[in-house]
Amino acid sequence: MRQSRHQEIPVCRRTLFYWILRRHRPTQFLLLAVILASLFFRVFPLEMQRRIINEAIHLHDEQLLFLYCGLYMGAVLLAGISKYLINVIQTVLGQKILVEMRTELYHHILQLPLQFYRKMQPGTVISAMTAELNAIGFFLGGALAIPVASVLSFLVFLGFMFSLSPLLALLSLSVYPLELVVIPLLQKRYNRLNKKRIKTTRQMSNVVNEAISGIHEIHANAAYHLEEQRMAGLIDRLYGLLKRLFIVKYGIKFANNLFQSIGPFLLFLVGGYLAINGEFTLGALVAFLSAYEKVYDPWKEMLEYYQALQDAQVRYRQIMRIFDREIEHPIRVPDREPLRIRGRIEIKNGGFTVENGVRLLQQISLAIQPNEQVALVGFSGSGKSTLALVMAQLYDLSSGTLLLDGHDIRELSKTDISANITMIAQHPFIFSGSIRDNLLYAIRAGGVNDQEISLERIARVIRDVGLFEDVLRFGFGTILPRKRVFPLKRKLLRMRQIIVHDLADEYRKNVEIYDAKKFLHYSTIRDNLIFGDSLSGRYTIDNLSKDGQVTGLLRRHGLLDDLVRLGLAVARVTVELLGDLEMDEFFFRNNPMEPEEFAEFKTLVKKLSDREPENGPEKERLLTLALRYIPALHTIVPLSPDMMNRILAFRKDFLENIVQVDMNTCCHGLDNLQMQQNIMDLPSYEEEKDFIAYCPSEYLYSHTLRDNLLFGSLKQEIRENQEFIGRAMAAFEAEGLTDEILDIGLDFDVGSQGDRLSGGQKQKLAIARAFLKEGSILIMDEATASLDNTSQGKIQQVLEEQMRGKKTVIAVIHRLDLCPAYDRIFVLRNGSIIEQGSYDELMAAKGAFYELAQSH
Amino acid sequence: MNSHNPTDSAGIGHLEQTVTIFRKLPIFRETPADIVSLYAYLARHEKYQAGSVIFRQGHPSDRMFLVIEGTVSICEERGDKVLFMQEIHGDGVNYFGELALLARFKWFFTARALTEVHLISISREAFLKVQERFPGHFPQAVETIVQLRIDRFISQINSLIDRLPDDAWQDCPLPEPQP
Repeated sequence: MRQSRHQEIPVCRRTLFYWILRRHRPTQFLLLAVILASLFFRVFPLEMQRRIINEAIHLHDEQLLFLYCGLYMGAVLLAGISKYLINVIQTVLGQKILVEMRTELYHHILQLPLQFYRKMQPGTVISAMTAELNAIGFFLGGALAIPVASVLSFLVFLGFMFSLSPLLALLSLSVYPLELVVIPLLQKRYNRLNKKRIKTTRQMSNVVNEAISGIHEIHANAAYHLEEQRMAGLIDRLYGLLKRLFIVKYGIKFANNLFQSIGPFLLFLVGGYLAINGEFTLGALVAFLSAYEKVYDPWKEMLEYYQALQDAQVRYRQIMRIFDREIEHPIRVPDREPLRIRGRIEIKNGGFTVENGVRLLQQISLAIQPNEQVALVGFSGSGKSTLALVMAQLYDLSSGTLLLDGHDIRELSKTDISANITMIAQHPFIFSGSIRDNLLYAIRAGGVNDQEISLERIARVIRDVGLFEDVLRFGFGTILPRKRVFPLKRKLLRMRQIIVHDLADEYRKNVEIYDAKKFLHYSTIRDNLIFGDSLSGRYTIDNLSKDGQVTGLLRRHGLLDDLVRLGLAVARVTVELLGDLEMDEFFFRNNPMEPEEFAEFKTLVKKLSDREPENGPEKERLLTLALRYIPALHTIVPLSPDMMNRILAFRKDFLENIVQVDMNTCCHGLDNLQMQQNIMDLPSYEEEKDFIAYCPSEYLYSHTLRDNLLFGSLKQEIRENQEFIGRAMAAFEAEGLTDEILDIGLDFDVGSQGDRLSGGQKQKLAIARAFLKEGSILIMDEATASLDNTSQGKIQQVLEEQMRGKKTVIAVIHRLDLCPAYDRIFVLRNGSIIEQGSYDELMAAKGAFYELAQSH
Repeated sequence: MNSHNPTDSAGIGHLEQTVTIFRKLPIFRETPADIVSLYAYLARHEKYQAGSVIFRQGHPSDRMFLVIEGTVSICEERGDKVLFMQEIHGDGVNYFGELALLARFKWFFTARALTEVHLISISREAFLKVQERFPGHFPQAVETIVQLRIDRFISQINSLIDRLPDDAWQDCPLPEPQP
């Protein structure tokens, strides 16, 4: 291996004991010292036993009895403490070694060539790196100390027994040789089964991994049974293996126990005979029996250690065997800075053959000048993507040479390549985290701090790739934490004012403003009643129905029973309408009931029949339904004007008397907001309060940024408000307020593998990530293939306007109408370049490119 | 930009009322009561002020409209010219956009509120979901929609013919007599 972190034996060629002996020697010695100390405390009580019987009891000496018993107890206690210490040190040590093993192995695995991963299933790697290594970790800590301690303990106890009676000691030893034959035989069998078990578990991981990755196909084809069959075979095999494994394991245990019981039998027989004939004291016999029991412990430990060692060795070898492969390029070349390349690429007689002998590239010779923009085209399978990967050092040529500014690419480190070449894959990977994390991934990898990248630069790039509006939308959809709002509050309230005042006509048509004095048809009954939020979550819909203070007030306003009745009416109508229909989320879009609650409410409606709910939980459920009710949207039952008035009366009472909101200030604030006067600042102490009313000078922390700017409820779905939104955006932009929203949007969590983004968004994000990175060569492997024409055009424009004369661009392209934009086109067929030239030259030659263009 | 606010006066547009309106409409005459209720549940009330555009030619279609109150104009745009096709009133042929229930297309005419109008719309998605649940009802629903389309087609042709100048009338050509 050319590169290894410590210039030591390559990671995968190390023995298990290499890891154990390499470091942590002081801890190993400490462990040994504690073990030795513990030996004394384990032998000492045996001697005390003998003396208690032979001296204290025999001589009827109470003082002596108390002394010996005290010493006995003290030693037992110290033995226990030392055992506890041994366990702790051993575990910590094992985990420390495991950390090193895992870190270095992961470092190695990440550098393994792409070729390795072409045939390696992710499940195998995951299983090896996690569960399989964990199992070894438990063994590592005691790998040295346990055998040493066990052998020493064995010898000490044996010595003690010999000192009492050599004859009995020899007798006790007679069973051990038998064990030395039987146990290893069984263990060998156990190891074989264990290897198979590991293999089967890995296959299982792969099957599960593949099923999850391909879950779309499984659902689309209803192929559940096929996947279950694949799994069932493995489950059966694993069952069979584990069954046999445990039979052998318990066989070993049985053998151990049997041998352990033969000892006392011999001792009682012979020792008892000797004691009866006065050749052996009773105390000595008791001590001897105790010692025998004790001597068996280290013996058992040795046997267990032997089993654990075998097990760990098997696992370790199984893991290391997978990853034992050369790393092709070092991360850095020592003693020099990463190279700066101008962007000249030259390939001479390049060939690339995969392991099964298939030639993907042959006899490739080309020269691309710095800042030239070239396209690689050809039918699928012609080798164009492989050629791009070879240029990015992701694959190594099997024959021929590839020179970057005259440097052989094989001699360059990964840092050399990444400092100069940027690659955008056809299906780029999006990591879990935020948009920002993904955008800055390449830059951070190059050691640049986030602070060095200005928001302006990020904004320019995401505008270039057409992701700007998406990021703003993510920003609008964010629920901002207080500390993020605080420095922005003034700007956010200004945006609110732009929407409410400057766009007043549009606003009135689209939004129902939060007016403390009016009933809100487009808001929930809960919002109508409470007209605000508690930061502690006290007044959420779920909590309200259980809140004694609120339900008491509802009752005083004559609303409690009416709201329960409203909930019941909603439930009854819904059950009547949808009673026999299969559940479909669509049918619940205009209903405060969730699809998954339907069954529960159906049962409730049936149970109540024509009567009103009586018990607490039933009322609570129906009240919850009523609190979610939005009169203009959930039109299934009407709301009387009288009830609306009572709701308004409740609101006033609640705001003024329960949460102490100054209604006058709130209403006055609304007038100000609508009349383009300054938004009134609140006294600073009020920033700390728990209840935030829907008043114009408040930021509503439990609402999204969009809801905060709108300060009201939309009358239609957001997609029908594009015109309004467009005008609002233009107004924000004019006042330079969009940067703040963009900054918030960049923190949008993209989900696992970017699952919360669309295919196009993922692709654009990957392109933006590449555009942000400096470098002289940009390789795009069908990077825009999944984008619509407009987006594709935008990217092409960036290449033309911003990269021309600055970067060498190599684009693998499928759509030939993009070709005229490139200086030169290389046409590939069956892994060879069959034509090259400008678009006009190739079209005029009427050769393969012309044919390809015609067939499109 | 439209504005629909069905509950500005309390209760307008609630389910029971929609069902009552639907029952009076000829298009639901053959439809079983439970399906009418389901349509009413999934329908949306929309209100437009006089002069506002309900939808514009070239925009994707997604729902059909029933005119409950007011007058809607249907016009076709050709370049910068506009051809007035028909007026739709709360009484008479009181629906438009019925083909949107069956197919995806871009509106081939523009609908505008001539007075303040109250519409009820049924989306294609809602129509298809109901059909999924009551597949036996589907052929009859399609036939009703086709019949609605024919009625409107006749009504539009009549309206256009009425506005034709007299010289546009000519004899229906007959085959030349064989020598």
